Amino acid sequence: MSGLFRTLNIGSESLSVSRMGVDTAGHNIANAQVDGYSRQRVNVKARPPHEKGGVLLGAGAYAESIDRAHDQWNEKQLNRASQSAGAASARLTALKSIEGLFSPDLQAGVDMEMTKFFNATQDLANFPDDVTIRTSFREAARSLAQSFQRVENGLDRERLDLNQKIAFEVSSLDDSMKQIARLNAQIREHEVLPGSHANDLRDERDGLLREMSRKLDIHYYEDQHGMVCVRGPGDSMLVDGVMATHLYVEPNKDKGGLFDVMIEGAEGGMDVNLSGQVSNGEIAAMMDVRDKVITVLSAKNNQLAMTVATSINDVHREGFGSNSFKDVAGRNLFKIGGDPNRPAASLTLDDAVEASTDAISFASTPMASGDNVVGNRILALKDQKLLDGRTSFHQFYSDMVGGVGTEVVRAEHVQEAEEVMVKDLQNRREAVSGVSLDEEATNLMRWQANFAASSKLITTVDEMLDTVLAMKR
Amino acid sequence: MRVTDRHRYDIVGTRVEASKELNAKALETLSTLKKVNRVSDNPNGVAGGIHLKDRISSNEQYQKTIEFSKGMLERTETALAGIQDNMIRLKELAIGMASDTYDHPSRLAAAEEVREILKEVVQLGNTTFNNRYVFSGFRSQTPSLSMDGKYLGDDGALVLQIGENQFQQVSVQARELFEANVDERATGHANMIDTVEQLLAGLTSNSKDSIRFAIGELDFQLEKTANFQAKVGSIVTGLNGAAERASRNVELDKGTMSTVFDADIFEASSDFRRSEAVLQSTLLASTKLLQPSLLNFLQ
Repeated sequence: MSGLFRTLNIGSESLSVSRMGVDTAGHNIANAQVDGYSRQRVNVKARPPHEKGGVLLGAGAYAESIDRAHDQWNEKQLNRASQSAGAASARLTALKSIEGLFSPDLQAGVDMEMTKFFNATQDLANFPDDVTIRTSFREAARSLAQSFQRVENGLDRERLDLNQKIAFEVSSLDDSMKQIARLNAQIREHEVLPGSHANDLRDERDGLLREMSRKLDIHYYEDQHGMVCVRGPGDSMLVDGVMATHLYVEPNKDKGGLFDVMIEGAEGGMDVNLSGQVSNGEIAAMMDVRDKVITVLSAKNNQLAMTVATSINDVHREGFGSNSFKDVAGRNLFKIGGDPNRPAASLTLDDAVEASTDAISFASTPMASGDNVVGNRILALKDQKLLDGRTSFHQFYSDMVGGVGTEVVRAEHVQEAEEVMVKDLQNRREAVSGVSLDEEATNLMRWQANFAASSKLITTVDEMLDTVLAMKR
Repeated sequence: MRVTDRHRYDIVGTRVEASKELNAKALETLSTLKKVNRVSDNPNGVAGGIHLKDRISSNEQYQKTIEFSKGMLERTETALAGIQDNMIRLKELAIGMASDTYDHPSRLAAAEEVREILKEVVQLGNTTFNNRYVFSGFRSQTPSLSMDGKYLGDDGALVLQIGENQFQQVSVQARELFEANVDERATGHANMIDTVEQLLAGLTSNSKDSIRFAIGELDFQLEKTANFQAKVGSIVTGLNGAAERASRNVELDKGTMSTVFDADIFEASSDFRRSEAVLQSTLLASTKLLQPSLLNFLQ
């Protein structure tokens, strides 16, 4: 009898394994479209055989564990590639936004306003005593000053946008770190029993690590308890087992209140500024555009604005105006005030010119209403190489715009190349870990057949037991 | 390699996205008829375009300036021709009145005509263009001549930009026309209006000698006026050359701009049709790719 019960047990265990197989296939099908999910497999093992009468008798099968299909090496490669792809993508997005400030469709860009200003200067040189043309000239000069302001304000806006995005990403990283620490604790707890694998929790943690990798240059390793330790820029410890450090942003007074990335000091130590050590990922790219690309563009815009304003002022001061200013020289056309490092931001017209067009000084001699000699000297500035002694106003601006365009093209190429690499690694990951519905359909059929056969085994044993019991009657 | 369902959906997603991007780009080109819509479409082209746009605008401005200058010079020329006609009439009168044929009353009658001519010469000297006295130099709001023939302008010469780094004097310095300079005075010559006054005095006083002297002086004034006319003519010739250059530059630069920025409509529409066909075939292929699954056959 005990032999039959053993067989019955084999059937019952097989039934259980088959049900687990169906469950797992069902779980796989349910998660087929979940990002980062790794397909799972029931790891079925044959039980050690029993020896009976010198013969080794099989003892059925049991489910040793449910494993996930996962290639750790590929995962690390993917995360490394994601860092560069994240950086390339963030850089491209930021540069594209800046590119809009120099769009060739802009009718009020610095180049067009410079052209309009010099055309207005020519008009006024033709009719130095015409009040309407003096008003048009003042309008053109005001628009020119405003075009420099617009570029400066636009760059400022881009800088602040990036700053806010950096703060947002850092806060999101801080959340991810806390979640990883929580998952570490749960995984350790679940995997205490041998053969118990916290597959779904591990998938969730891998997803968080992938997300973090796109944003920051991190590396990580797993300890003997299945918990990951995550290190960030400058080998800073971000997550150590169940403990997550606090990552945050802090305004830097020396950088005009722009954020630095800070990490809480270990064991009550001083907090550390990581900004100089962030070298890859979205945050590094955004910081680079914010602190370098925009700073260089702003410096060029200011240099151009300053050179235009001072060179025109230098000539304008030698001229005499008309009517109430017909014997007054020494007035500037532009007022350069505000922050001396950013003259473009506050470039306006001289107060007297703003108050009266008579203060526009085109005459080389007093009381000569038709004198345009100074106006002609202002016109001559247009083609002079006044910037670094090498380039004219328009040349300088076109070099600046061409430089922005080239940067965007380069960033596009880098981003395409990085995304191709990430895509390839994602495909490889998918090939190992992804769910194939066809495969799962086959598995369902397999386990269903197995379930039916196991049931048959039980009914067969049942009939055999009946036969045995009938023998006694 | 195992091909999973997500992989298949990813492939479809990526390919449809790429086709749509191609289609959107072709549509943008077709709808704007521009192949450069942002700096990164052609950084060098856009940088070059900044110069071209400036040059086109500047050359159009030079054309405006030249047209204005020609208008002013035309007015100057007409005034000079009027002065010359009046000088010729004065000379005719003087020659006639210098002969013994005419008596004093006839000369007094001629003096009346000379007075009228004098007024007309002063009026011509005070010719304006766009509210500017063309012979007054930089004192453009001040009449050039007073009624007693005094020149009230200055020696300013209006110089305007008519090309890149090209400035041209577009007005005459009329003091030389209306006033006798030191050398001329030394040789006995007088101001233009004074010459007419001399003739008038000769006619009024019935002095044939004075009238004869005035004839010589009128010849001198006629020669000066002719010289000024020639000067104006040569300026206009120079301006015509500059106008032609500016017009040619505008045409050339617009052509270059068009090559860089404008899309070829035939190419753009054929690109759009091609991208449309690519998108449709991608969508069709995608449905075929996603349809078959073992589950469809397990009934």
